[in-house]
Amino acid sequence: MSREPTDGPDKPIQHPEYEKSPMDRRTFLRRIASATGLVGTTGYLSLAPEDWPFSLKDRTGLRSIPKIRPFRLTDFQVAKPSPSHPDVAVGRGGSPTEMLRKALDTLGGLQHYVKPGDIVLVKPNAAFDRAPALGATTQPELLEGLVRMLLVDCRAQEVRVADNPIESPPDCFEKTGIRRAAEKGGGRVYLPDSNAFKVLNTPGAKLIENWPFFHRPFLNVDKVIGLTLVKDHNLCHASMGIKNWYGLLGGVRNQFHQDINEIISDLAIMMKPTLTVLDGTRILMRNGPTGGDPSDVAPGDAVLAAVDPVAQDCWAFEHLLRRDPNDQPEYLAMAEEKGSGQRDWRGRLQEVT
Amino acid sequence: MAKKVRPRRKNPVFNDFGRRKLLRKSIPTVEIGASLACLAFLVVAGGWTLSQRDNYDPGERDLDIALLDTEPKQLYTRPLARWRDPSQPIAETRLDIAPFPDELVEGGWAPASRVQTFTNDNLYEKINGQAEQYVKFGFRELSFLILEEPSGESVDLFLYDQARFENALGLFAEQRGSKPLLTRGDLLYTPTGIGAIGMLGHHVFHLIGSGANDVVMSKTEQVLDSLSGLAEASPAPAPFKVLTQGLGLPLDRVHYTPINAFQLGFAQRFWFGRTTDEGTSRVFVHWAESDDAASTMFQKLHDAQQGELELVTPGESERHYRHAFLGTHYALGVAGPLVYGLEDHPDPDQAVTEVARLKEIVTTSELGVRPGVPSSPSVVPTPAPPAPVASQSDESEGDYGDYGEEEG
Repeated sequence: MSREPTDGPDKPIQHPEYEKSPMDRRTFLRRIASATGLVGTTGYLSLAPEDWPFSLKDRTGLRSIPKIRPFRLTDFQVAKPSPSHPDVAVGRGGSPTEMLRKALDTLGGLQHYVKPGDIVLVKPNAAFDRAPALGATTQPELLEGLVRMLLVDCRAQEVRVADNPIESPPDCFEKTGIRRAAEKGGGRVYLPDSNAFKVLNTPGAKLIENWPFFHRPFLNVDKVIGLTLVKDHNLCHASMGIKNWYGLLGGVRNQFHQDINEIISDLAIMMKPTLTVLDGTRILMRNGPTGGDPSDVAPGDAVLAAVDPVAQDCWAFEHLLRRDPNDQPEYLAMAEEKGSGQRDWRGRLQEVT
Repeated sequence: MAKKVRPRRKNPVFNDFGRRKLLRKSIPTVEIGASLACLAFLVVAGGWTLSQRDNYDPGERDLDIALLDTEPKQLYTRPLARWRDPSQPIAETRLDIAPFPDELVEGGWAPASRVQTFTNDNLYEKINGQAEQYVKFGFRELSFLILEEPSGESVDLFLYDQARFENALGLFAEQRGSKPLLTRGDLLYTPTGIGAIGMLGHHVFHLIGSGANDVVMSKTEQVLDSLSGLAEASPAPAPFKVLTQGLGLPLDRVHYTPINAFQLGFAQRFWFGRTTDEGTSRVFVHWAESDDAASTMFQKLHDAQQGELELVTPGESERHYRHAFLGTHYALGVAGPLVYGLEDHPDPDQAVTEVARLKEIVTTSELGVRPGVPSSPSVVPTPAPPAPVASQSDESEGDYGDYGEEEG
C-alpha cells in the first residue's frame, strides 16, 4: 500500500483534494444552541410533571387511554306538509301494504318525507329468531312494501335495514323472513358486529346519556323510519313504536330492564325519526315479547304512520292492544314530559278506509 | 483577505455551482400554470381526504350478507380416524342431547347443534324481555335444542327448569291463560298451532315448530310422548294429586299458596281447590314434613281460628266449625302427614259430605299418600321459592299456582 508523500513526520496523512474548513465562532455557537435546545426540549417533554404545559410524562398510564368521543344523532324529523295534516294516520282495509300506503298518503305522502337521493334507514323489529306467524317480529310483507315504496316512489339512493337482536343476528334476520323481504324489496340488511358500535351521546337521557349505539348503518343516513308491530310485553306491558329503538343499543342493555320505563322514555329523546310505522295487522296480545303460540296473535285491520310516536303508541295501546287507557305504560307519560310528543291523540289522528 | 473561491464540482450536467440557484432567467407560463394546477390538485385532494375522516361507506366494512347463503368454510380438518376392522359393525356417533330423550333424533330428525344451556346470568341472551317472567318463578336453567328434518322443517325445544313443581305450575298457568289444557299422564300441555307449551314436574317446556303442517305436528306429538315417559322422574306432589285426580277438580280451580295461607304466618305450602265455579268455598291440603309436624299444624290452625269460629263437632283428628257471624261451615282434619280441610261452605250437610270424601281420598294409598308412613315431601323441597313480586305485594296470599287467574 502506497502512501502519499508528506511534508514531515508530524503531518497527518490527508487526501490531496482535502480542503480545510475551520468552524468559525458564530457557527459554533449556533450549533451549540441548537443542540442545547434539542436536548432541553426533549428533557422537558419527558421529565416535566404531568400538569405542566406540553408535558408528555405519563407515570400512571392514564393519559395514554384513548379518549372516547361520543357522537350525536341528528334530528331526522321532517315537518308536515301543512298544519292541517294529522300527526297520526291510520290506514284500514286491503293488504298490509295498501293500508300502509293509505296511512302515508294521509300524512302527506311518503315523497314529502323522503327525497330523491336520500339514504334511508328502516329499523324493523327482528329481536327473536321466531317465525313471523308468532307475532314477535316485524311482518316481512310490510317491510318489503315499505322498502319498495322508498326506492321506487321516492327514488331513495339506498334503503338500509338494520337491527341489533341479542340472539344470533343472522338467525334472527333469517328466521323472521326480514332478510329475504328487505332484499326482495331492494334494500340492504346491515348485521351488527362488535366494530359497528360507537358511543352515542343523548343530552337529557337519564340512563343512556353516553351508551354504545349501532352506529355503522347510520353513516350518511338522511332519513330514519321505524317499522314495528304492536305486542304485549312482560315488563312494560306494551312494546310499540318507541320501544322499537331499544334494538339499536349495544352493551349490556338487559340491565335497563330494572328501570324499563325510564329507558324507553330515554329512547324517545334519543331517536327523532322521520316516521314511525306500526303494524296493526298482527297483534301479540299476551305472552310478549317473545310469544310462542299463534293463538296469542290477534288479527287486526290497521297500519299506522305517524310523526308523533307518543300519540301513536297511546292510540295503539288503547285500540289495537285493547287495553284500558287508564293503564297506559308509564313510559308514555315520561316521554311526553321529555318533549317527545303528546299523548292526547284526539284531533290529531285521522283514519282512512 | 481575498475571498476563497470554491472549486467547481465535477458534475457538469446540473448545477455545477454547488448551491441552489435558478439557472433560467425566465419560466414559461405553461410551466407555471401546470405547477399551479398540480398544487391546487394536491390541496383539493388533501382537503377532501381530511374532510372524509371516518366518514366511510359502511357497506365496505359490513359483513357480507351473502355469507348466509354460502357453504361454511372448513377451518379444521379432522385427523385420520383410527383403523377399524371392517368386519365389525360401525358404532354411530350421535350428539348428546341430554336432558332431552335420545329418541327425539330418530326418523330423519337431527339436532341442528349441541344443546345450549342458559342460566340466570345469561337467560336474557335467549329471551330478552321475557326472562324476568321465568326468573320470577324460580328459574334455574334453560336447555334449548333445535331439531331439523331433511325437508327443512324444524322444531325448537325449550326446556325450562323451574326448580320446583309449584313454580312450574304457576308459570305455566300464567302463560296458558284460559286456553284448553290437555293431560298425557302427568304431562300437562296446551297445543298451539305450531307446537305446544306445557309442564312436566318442575319443568316448563315450549315446542315451537317452523310452521303449521303435518310434519311439525307429528314431531310435536312424538316429543310430547317422549316427555310424558319422563314423568316418573318428577312426579307431581301428593296434595296436587289429591285435588286433581282424587277429587277430580278441574285444574282451573287449583291454587297453591306458598306462604301466609289463611293470613297466618306459620301456614305455608297449602294447596287449595274451589269446589264450585261460584262461591268462595274451597278445600285445602297441606303435606307436612312428618306426622308430628302435621299434628302441630293441625293444632295451630285450630288455635288460630278460635276467635271467629265456633267448634261444632270436636274430635281428635277431625273438627268441624261454624263461623260466628257468617254462619258458613269449616272443617279441619289430619291424617298422617296430611292436613286437610274445608272452608267457607254455605251448606253444613254438604260440607260434611265433602270433607268425608276428602278424608277417604287422603287416607287411601292410591295416590301415593300413606298416612302414618314417614312421608317424603322431597318433591316439595325447602327452601321456599322466590315468590312473584306482584302477587306478594298486594295480597297476603301469594297463590301463584292459580290456574284460572287471568293477567291484567
